Amino acid sequence: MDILIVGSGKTGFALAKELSKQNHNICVVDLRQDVLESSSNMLDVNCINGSGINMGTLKEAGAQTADLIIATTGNDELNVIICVIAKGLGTSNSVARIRNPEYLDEVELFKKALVLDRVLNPELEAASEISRLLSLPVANKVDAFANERVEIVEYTVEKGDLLVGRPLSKLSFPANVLLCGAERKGELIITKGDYICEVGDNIYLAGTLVGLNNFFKIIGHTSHKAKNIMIIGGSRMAVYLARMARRMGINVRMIERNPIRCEALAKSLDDCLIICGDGTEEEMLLSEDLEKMDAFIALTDSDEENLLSSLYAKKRGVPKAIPKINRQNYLELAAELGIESIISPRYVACDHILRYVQALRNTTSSAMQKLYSLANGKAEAVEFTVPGNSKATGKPLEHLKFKPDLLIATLVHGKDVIIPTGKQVMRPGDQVLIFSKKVVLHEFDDILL
Amino acid sequence: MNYRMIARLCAFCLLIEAAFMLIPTAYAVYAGENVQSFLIPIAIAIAIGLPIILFLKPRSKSLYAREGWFSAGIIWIVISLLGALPFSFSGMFKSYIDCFVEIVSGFTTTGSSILKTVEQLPRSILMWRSLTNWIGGIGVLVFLLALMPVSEVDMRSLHLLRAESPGPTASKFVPKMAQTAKLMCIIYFVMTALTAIALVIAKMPFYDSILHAWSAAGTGGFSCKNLSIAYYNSTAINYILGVSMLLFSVNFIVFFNLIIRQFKSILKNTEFLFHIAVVVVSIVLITININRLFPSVGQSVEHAFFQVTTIISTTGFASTDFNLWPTFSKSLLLLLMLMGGCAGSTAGGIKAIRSVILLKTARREIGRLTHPRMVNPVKIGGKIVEDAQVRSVMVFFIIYVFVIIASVLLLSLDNFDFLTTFSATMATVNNIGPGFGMVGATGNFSEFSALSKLVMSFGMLLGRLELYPIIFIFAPGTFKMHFHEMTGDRGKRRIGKRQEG
Repeated sequence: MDILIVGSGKTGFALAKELSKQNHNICVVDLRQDVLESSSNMLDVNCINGSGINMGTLKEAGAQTADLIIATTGNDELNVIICVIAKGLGTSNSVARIRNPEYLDEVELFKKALVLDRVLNPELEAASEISRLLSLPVANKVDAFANERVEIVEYTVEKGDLLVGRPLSKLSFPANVLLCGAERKGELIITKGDYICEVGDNIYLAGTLVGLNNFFKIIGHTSHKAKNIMIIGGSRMAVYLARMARRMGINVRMIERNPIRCEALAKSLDDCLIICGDGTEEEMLLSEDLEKMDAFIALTDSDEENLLSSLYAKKRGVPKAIPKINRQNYLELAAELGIESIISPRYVACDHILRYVQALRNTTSSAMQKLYSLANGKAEAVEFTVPGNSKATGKPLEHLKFKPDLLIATLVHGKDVIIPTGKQVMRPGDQVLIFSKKVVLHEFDDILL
Repeated sequence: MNYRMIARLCAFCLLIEAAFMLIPTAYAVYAGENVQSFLIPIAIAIAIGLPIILFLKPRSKSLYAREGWFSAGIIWIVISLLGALPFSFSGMFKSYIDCFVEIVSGFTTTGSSILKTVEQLPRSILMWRSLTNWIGGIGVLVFLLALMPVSEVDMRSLHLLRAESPGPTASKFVPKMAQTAKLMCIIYFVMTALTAIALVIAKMPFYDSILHAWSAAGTGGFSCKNLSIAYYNSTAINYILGVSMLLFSVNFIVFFNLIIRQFKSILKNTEFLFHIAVVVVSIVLITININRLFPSVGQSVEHAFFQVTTIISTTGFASTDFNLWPTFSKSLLLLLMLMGGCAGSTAGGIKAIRSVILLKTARREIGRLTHPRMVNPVKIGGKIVEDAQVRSVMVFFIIYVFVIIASVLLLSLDNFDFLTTFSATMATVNNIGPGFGMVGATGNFSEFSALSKLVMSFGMLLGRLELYPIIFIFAPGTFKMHFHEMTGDRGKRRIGKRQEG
């Protein structure tokens, strides 16, 4: 696809990098020559120096024929205008980055009134990813499907888990949970009855929140929703997260260094304990009951500070520590140090766009609702609404022939979430979540052989 | 520095060169000429290249700026060393140095010959000579990028293209590097084929047409006749080659714009317009100046047109002995030699875009004399040229002049007259081919000493790769860097062994 990226900041650059790796034709537009130079040196992309709101520049970048424009300049209003101009010139799809919390409620209105196809809010997306993790703190990663009724979680098998050393068929799973796949030494497999778990495997589980909670209880984790959390750094993302946490009934303690910012936080957040202090100071953390926290989330501007304070929290017995880390080279390092969950707004945003682009490319029918790539792109979770004319309907699943490396993870019928058995029958209108390993699905019936 | 990756690139280039050698080999088989002079070099290329590709796996595929400069320089030297072998095995050259000079002259699309007469050479060798013009014109790295699988090179391969492609900035037609290289090759191939077809229609023999099309496309200027194009004495051929050379001295992006029907951007291309204007003005001036030498105005225009296009495109074909022309015409041609064609073409010289930037900068600085506080950035096509780029163009020009001065000084040791010495330098550094005086249209470079020949091959490579890759290889700092890296590596290995023990 021909993709135009306006604004080559951190997010823009990361997007250009990932998208050009996937063999899309990328054209980057930016006002700053030095930024462009580093882009053109490091990436296989076209760079055009100019303003994104200049029609001439957009035309030069090929906006008339482009498939997608992504506006990620530092200015929300500019991004919206750029998308409007590009759409007017003939670009098929548009994504604008809108970060200002004040626009949060107007986003849907914008989308409709200004024909935006998608709005990108990295901090918001990252905050909601953390909030999902808070409801299931054992997991490394939680992705929501079927209007947040089904989740797919990633979990690293630990020593002493009941799973280890027994074939899958001998294990009794709670209702509404299915083991879909496992990643061992970088290799992903779709799990079958003969699969035996080992310590260190990354397993992927699909199911409802309640079911997954039960599952983790059974394998020996006292996994419950986090009740008390501590957030270091009162950034924009922290505000989003605190609001979400409050809605989930979680007690929030937020530590921010800057007194003026603290005032503003106290004004905009209700029911949160705002503490003015240094998040790396041991005394202060301990006096604020660090050891009693269920989760510790470090969201300051400094990757290093976040990583170190998270390590400290873990050492002090906090079960879950989530640092915000933007530098890619620290991600691996953090995993090695025993921090499984890391949040990086830039990569969350990148992920969202990549999924969006993938869905744009794959979908020819409107049946595909969502496409998520999991396990660093080794697996995909695709959500379909079963179409009326599908050949897969009306018959029990055991009578259908499916493609290999593909699994029907869950089925949502009306209000019920069902983990399908061989007897299950799919009906038109059901929402089906398919877990697959590199199977290209354009339409729902592509799942059949 | 990533030596393994550089070695791998060199190996790929050797194999590509060997593949090109199959063309004259096939001809040698067909004409019953000595095949061995090609088979041995091909065998050598495979013997060196294949093991490197198969067994010397690079640890990382990243190429940074310095790897880009270094590999461009090294690759050109390596392919010249191999390319000289067919000449050497043919036994028609006095020494390997002569062969090397001839092949460098071919690959750099210079087209100066150290041979007194070329017609005595086997026709397959002549074919290889002209083919090197064609390969060197667009650059072996462009072929490499077009042919190499995408996974082979890191995305930073722009450094490679930039190191080889003429002009201050390397521009891509389309976002993908490999795609750009492919498009360039296609445009190049099609235009060469069209030239050859036109020449055949103009009644040039088939073999000669192919060879001249190759030389014209690469703006090299190797001919298979002693008299060059004057041999055919045909107005049609003169015009066909003139137009062809002019087209090949134009930035390929113009043809790309033509294909995608972006006619407006062609008319906005300052460099292209400047280039055409210079050509037209020069033709008019030279026609007036040489008018009394020819029986009709038509003939004056024809020769003025041919000579201006052949010089400004840095090809160096000859339709007549311009050594006999008046001094004004010769001086003008000497200036055109320095300017050369457009960036992103196959031509040499300092390039039209740099001339434009230099002229505009000069005008700005003179303007500042009257309005010291004037703010007027250099603009080209309505776009501001960043000061950093202006500076780099000026530095390029200064180094270029230094190279010319140094080359003139060294060539003077041979004690030829000044016009010969100076024009020989201009003709080699700017990749033209013939100069004036002894090295004029009917002369050659055979009389120069071995030292001068090496200096000239050096100058040709400097000119073709636009100084930096070659300077980078021979810069003292680079040697120091190699030294440090090698000793540093060894130090690490020693520590590793100690730990094992």
